[in-house]
Amino acid sequence: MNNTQVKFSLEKESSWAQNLTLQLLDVAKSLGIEDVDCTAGTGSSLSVSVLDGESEDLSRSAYRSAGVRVISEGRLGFATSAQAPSSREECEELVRNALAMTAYASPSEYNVIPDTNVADINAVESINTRLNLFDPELLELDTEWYLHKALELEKVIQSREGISAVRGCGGGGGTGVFALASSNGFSGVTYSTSLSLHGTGIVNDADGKKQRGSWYDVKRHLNAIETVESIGQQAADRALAKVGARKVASGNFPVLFDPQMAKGFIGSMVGALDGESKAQGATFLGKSEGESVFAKGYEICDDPFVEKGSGSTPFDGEGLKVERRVLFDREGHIQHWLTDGRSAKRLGVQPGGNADRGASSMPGAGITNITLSGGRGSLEDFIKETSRGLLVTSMMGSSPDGITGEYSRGASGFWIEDGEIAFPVEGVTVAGQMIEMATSLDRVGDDYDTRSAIIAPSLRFEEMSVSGE
Amino acid sequence: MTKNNEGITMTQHFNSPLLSPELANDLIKKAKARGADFVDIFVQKRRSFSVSLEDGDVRGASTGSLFGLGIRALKGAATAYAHSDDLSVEALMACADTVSHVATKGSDVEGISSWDERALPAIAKASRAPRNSAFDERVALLQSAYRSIDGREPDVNKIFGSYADVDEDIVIVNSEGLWVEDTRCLCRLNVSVLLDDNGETRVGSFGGGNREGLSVFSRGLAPQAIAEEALRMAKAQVGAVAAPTGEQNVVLAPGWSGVLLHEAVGHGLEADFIRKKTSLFTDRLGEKVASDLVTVIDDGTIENSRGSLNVDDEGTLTQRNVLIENGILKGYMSDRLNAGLMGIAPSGNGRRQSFRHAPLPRMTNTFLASGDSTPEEILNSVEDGIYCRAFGGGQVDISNGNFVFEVREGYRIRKGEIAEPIKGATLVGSGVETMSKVSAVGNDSKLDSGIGTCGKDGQSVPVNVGLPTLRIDGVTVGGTGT
Repeated sequence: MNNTQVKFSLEKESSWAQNLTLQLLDVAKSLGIEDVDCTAGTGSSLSVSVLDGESEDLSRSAYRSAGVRVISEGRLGFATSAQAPSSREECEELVRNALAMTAYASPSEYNVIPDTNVADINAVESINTRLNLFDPELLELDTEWYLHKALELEKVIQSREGISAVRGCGGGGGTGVFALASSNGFSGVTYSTSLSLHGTGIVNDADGKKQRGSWYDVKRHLNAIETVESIGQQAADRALAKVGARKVASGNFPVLFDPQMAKGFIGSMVGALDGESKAQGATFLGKSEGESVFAKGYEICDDPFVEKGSGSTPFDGEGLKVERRVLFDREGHIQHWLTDGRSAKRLGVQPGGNADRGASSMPGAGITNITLSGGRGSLEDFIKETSRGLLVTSMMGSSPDGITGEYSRGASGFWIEDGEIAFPVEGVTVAGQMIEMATSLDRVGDDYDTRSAIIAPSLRFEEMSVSGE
Repeated sequence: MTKNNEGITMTQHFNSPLLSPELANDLIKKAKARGADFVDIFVQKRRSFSVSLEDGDVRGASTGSLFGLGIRALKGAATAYAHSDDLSVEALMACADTVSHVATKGSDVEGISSWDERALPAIAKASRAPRNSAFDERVALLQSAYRSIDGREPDVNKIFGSYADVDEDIVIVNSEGLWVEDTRCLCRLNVSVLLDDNGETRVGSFGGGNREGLSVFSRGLAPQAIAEEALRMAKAQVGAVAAPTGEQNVVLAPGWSGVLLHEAVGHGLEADFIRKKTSLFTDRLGEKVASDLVTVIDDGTIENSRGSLNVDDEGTLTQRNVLIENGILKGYMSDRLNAGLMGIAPSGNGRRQSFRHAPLPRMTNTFLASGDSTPEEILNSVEDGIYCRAFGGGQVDISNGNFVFEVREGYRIRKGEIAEPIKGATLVGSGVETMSKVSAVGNDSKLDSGIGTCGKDGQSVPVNVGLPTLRIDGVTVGGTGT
């Protein structure tokens, strides 16, 4: 397989998306609709995977889509099209579909297009530049480049003694553009690139069982991506370290999460700050205002302005200003509930500018980048400081229950004895209650995993319930 | 433009031909020009509708459309895939050119002179498709579910409901001259109830649907019955105590518990994992992989079931595949690519999320066949253990068979009787090991009500799972109690 590039003109696609949203808005206004916002998205990507020294999959993907949200007489209607309108007639059809949907919804005072704290249209482009989410060099990469990297990565993993097979080596990259125009006066466009490389090593374990170890990196810029050598070594290390994994006896022990696992835990804590869920009585943090719900001494923030950040954005999904906000302060108190226009209205607060939205979805409160400051130390330090306990390096099962806060997940990792890794562990569960877990943290590191929007360090919980034999 | 009485251009959305034979021929010729072994095209035109309810209020209704073409070329074990929602000849030919690069040495490609139009069985056939029904009617289903339980229990804080449907036309053609056209729909209605239990929140949730369209809600699955079950589940958990930790004897209720089977053995029997030797079931055909009591079947032909299809997404008719028979491994679930490379017949399991995705071997309706025991006998046989009645999701690592699944409604079994409700339980185990610990199989196998969505490699497809009442000894239960 050879030479297919992403073929993407940022200038052309950005103006296409922005013009489409403005045209949809104009059509809506001409139909007498006063409260409306319109989105458009376009993107293009490539991905490859290899198997046993040969290319296995090559995929090229391109999409265009649009969405229209209408509020009419307090009723909400929404329509999307994955084949974006290409004429005024098609724009009108999409707007009319959204309007038609309002007939089936109940009127509610909470249905609003928020119009306070609207982002400055003239500042969007300078914030885009500052956030630096788009790397034009990435558009130059063709399938040959990804193929070459994937084959190299496969070789790195295969060359390690003990590795019996290599699977899932591949990579991909692409670009996306998102535009929004609203009856609140906002119109803007944001754009980004990303690329990723990933690989998995497999090791034969006893009784025909196999163990897998995977590693990946994902970045917005080409020059920041981890080397194939480093990704491959980590994948192989992780597979080899799992050989002989077994259960441990059930009991209550200190439990360590590496930064990758900590990401999920922090994400669940922050996810419980959804304003709509608070209004519905559907979050375990709902009755905890003014109480410590996280260990003291740390600060957890939502920060839309992380340069090259995975979740960075110059404006929110309803065209409001975004800003850095403290979510949990150093006392472990809740400082901010994540809100979009609707949930802010329900809670009787100013909209938080936290609306998250794709080109074909309705807005809902969400995060940008989550940072945790105040911690110190690394996973290695925390292992040394643990006389007996479990280090969790991978987990299975879905997220904890956001309503009840019950946490119980399948886990594998390593048993720690006298400050050292003793043996690999699998087939156990770790369980607790979210608030109890968060307040029982007795080690929080500064060894951040920066690959996703939740930038988390290693954590140690003083005690969790481990279930094995 | 034809409009129905709601102003939505639904009829127009479906009545034009999706692909002309001439364009199909041109695309296939282009995609094969560099020597690909095989090319196929998947065209999909879909209309979706969804609406959600919070207490008595309809939050908002939404509608979406999806229309595009995906083209795939195979050469040996290599796949190239491209798709486009720009349906201009130029854009589609560019996709065909992209995938042609799967191979390097071209030869003259002959066009297809006559198409083999495959007649399809009526396994999944809507009797009242969403496209032929008014939106009002669908919103009313949700309202009637809500009204049937509203005000019944003072401790209920919140009732949520959701309804969603998709209705689509597809065309599948390939370089062997196959031409398949089908129409598919899928409806689903869900209700959740939040109930206050002295400051703690109990959640009850139930839902279902299938491929027969809206008529399912006036026949087997009344909206009121869905709401009733959600309310029952929330109430049943009042006073729940922390689940015990450690190895327990577990009894699974019939139906949705099949998610355990789906995770513990189902994924490991998908042909891509077998061919690439990443599954622990690799090279084990004919070997004993489960208790003698265990027979596992994947059947895509069950009438109108959520996981059923008249034809898979590669144009292969679906069928009933026995995977494990009395504990012996009998077969795998395959798509075209993997079946070809393994020298077996495709089993009708090639599925994809949409035209934006290449097909993979996937499950349809996967269940464990009935045994001889009555549910009462099984329950009574457990001195001390756990009864699992409702579940959340599950996940598996197919290389070592380790799986987890989350119990949403569970009870302690004491002296053969169901005792206090438990909360926060997760079951973990390893596929082969767990299946060998099955010690009793009930005579009451059934599929779930139609709520399952299976994820693999970033693609979601609707599935059913099923199980009779089942006893498994020595399963690790993760909780926080004793």
